[in-house]
Amino acid sequence: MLVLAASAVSGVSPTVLTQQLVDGITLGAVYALIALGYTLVYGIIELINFAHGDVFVWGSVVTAVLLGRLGYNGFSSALSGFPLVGTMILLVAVAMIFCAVLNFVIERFAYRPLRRAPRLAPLIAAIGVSFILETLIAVTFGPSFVEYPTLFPTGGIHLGAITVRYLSIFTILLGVVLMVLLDRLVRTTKIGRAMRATAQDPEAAALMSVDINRTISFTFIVGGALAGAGSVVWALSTSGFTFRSGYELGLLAFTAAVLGGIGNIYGAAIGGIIIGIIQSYTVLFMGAQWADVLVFVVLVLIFIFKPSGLLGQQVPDKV
Amino acid sequence: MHQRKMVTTKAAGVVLSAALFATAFAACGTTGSTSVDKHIVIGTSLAVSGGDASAQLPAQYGVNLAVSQNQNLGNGYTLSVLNENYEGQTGADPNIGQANITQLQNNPEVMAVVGPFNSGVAKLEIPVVNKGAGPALISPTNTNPGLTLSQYAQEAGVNFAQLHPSGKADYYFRIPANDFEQGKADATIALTPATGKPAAKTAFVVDDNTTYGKPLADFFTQFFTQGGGQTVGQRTSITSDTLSELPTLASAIKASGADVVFFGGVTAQGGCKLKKALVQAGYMNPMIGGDGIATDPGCISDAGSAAVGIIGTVAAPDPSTLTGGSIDTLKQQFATFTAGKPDASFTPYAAQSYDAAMVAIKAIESVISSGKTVNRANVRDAIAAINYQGVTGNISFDQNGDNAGTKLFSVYAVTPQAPTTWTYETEIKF
Repeated sequence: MLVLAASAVSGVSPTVLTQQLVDGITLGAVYALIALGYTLVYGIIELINFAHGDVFVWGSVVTAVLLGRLGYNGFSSALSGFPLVGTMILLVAVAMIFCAVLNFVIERFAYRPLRRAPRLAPLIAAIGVSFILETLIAVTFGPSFVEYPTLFPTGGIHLGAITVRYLSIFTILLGVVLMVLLDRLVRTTKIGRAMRATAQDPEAAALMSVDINRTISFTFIVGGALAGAGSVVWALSTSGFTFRSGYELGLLAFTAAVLGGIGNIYGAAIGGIIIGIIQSYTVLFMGAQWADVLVFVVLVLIFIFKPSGLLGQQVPDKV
Repeated sequence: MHQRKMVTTKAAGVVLSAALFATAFAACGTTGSTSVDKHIVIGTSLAVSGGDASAQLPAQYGVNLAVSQNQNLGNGYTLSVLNENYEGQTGADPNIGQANITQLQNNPEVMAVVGPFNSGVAKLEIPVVNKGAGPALISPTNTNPGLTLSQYAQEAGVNFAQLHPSGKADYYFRIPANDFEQGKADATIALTPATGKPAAKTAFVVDDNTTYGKPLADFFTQFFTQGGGQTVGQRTSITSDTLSELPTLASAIKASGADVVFFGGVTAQGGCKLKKALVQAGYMNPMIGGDGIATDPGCISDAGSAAVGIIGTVAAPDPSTLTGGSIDTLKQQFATFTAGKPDASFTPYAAQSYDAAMVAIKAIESVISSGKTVNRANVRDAIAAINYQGVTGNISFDQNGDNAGTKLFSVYAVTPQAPTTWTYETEIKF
C-alpha cells in the first residue's frame, strides 16, 4: 500500500520502489546484526563500544584471507548448490567464532580493567581499540580495497518484475534466524536470565550469585558472533572493503541502535532495517552522496519527538 | 625518583638543543654555497603508495629513468631526482601535496618538478609555485580544464585568481589535453556504435565527488546530450566510504534502463567496484570512464570477472601507436630500469612523464649552454619556449601553459577476449 502511494506521488513505478525496498531490507539486515552488538553491550555495561564496527570488518578480513587460501579471487566463477551452501556455512562459522573471540579478548584486556573507572575512560579505550583494529588492516593490506569474491550467482528469484537476489535471500534468512535465536537465548536460557539481571542491577545480580564477569564476557561473545555473521554477507555484497569501512558501518549501526532505542534488542533490529531502507530510497531519489545525511536527519527527528528511540521505553525487554 | 627524572629530561633537552643548533648552522652552510653549486635537482610530486600506486608509480619511474639517463648536463652541472609522495590515509591528499611542493620550493637546487598527477592536488600546488616564483611545475597528467583556462574554472571548482596571481610569471605547464575535451571524447565513444556495443541513447551518470570526477561527468553529460543522447536516473556521487550502497545503486541503474553508465572518477573511490555490483544486479551494459580508471590494473582487480565492458580514455598516445626506434629503445630501458620493482607497467602516462622530465632537462640544458644563470626564472622561460620532439609527440606550450599540439585520447577497453587486461582500441583526435 505504502509503495503504491509513494509510486503515485513520485511517478516512479511500483516495481522499482519494491526492488529498492528489498535491497534496503537486505542492507538493513546487515546493519541490524551490527547494531545488536552495540545495543547488547550498552544494555549490560552502558558502554558505547566504538570498536564494534571494526570487529565486524575483521570478520570480513579473516574470511577474505581464508577464501584467498582456498583459491578464490575476484575472477572466480560463482558457486551453486552444495559447494555454495558448504562454503557459506564454513565462512559464517569462521567469522562468527573469530569475531566472538576478538570481542572477548577486547573486553577482557581493554574494558574490564576500566570497569570501575569514570565513564569516559572505557569510551576512550574503545576509540583506541578501534584505531588499533583499523591500522592493523591498513598496515597489512594497504589502504586500497581488499578484494572479496562474490561467490553467489547473479540473478535471483523473480517475483513478477522484481528480482530478489540469492544473496539477499541468504542475508535476510541469516538475519532472521540469528535474531530469533538471540531472542530465545535472552528470554529462555539461564545465561539469558543472568544477562537480563546484570543489565537491571549488577550488584543485586551478584548477590544472587550471578557471575558478573562471565555474563559480561558472554555478552561480548554474542555481540561479536552476530557481527561476524553479518560481515560475511556484507563483504559478499560489496565485493570488497577498505580499512575505513568499519568506521562508516559502525557509525550507521550505532545510529540504528539509537534509533530503535539503545539497549533494546528489538529496537536495534528495527532501527537497522529502517536505516537500510532510508539509504536505499535516498540512492534512488537523491543520489548516494545524500544517503548518510538523510539517515542522520531522521535520527535528529526521532530525538526531537521520541528521545528514547522508537522502542526505548520497553524496559523489561532490555537486555 | 621524580626529581631525578626531571633532571634527566632537562639534560636531554640541552643535548637536543645543541644538536638542533648545530644542524641549523650546517643548513646555513649549504644555503650559502648555492651560488657555486652545480648540482641540479628535478623533483616529483605524485601519490606512489596505497591505492594510487598502480597508476602513479609508473609515472615516477618514467621521470627517474629520464634523470638517470641525463645525470651530466654539461659544464660540470649534475642532475638528480627527489621523489615526494602525497598519498594520504584515504588516497591522494592535496594538503600533503602542498606540503611536498613547499618542501621542494625550499630546496634551492630544485629547478623543476614533474607532477602532480591529480588535478585536485594541482589546485593547491599551483598557487605555491606561482606565488613563490618557482620551481616550474610540469604535470604529465592533469586534465582539469580550469587549471589553465579561466572560462572553465568555476565549473571545475577552481579559484582561478588564486592559482594565477596577476602580474606574476606562470610556472605551471601540462602535457595532456583537458577534461572538457576528454568529456567530448567519452561522449563520442558512448554515441558511436562499436563491436559489442550499440550506439547509446541513454546514460546513467555517476561521479566520485572530486574536482576531477565531477566536472568530467558534467562535460560528458554536456556533449552526450548535445549529440542527441539523454541522461536517465538520479545523478549520484560515490566514494570509498559508500561501498554499502553500491548494490542498491546498481538496482537503481538497472531500473533506469540506461544504455551505458558513465563514471567520472578514480579507481580508489570505487568506480570499478560499482561495475562489479552492476553485473551482480544483472546489468550487463558497458561502463565508460576517463583516465581515472583506464589502463589502471587496480580497476580490473576491483571489478574482477565483471571487468569486461569497461571502456576508458587516456589523454596520451598508446605506446603501441608510437613508432620509430626511440620508443622501442625507451620501452627496453624502462623494462631494465624497473626490473624487480612493483607496479612496473609502461603505461601511457609513464611515457608522458618521461617526456615531462625530458622537457625540464632540455630546458635546463639550454639555459646552461646559453651561458645564462641557472635559476628558476630562466628555466621557466626556457620551458615556455621549448619545442621538443618527445616519444609521445611534439611538445610546446601556449600562453596558458597548455600543450599546443593535437588533442589526443587513446581508448582502452576490457574485452571478452582478454578479460584481465586493458586492450588498446583506437584513438580520438580533435
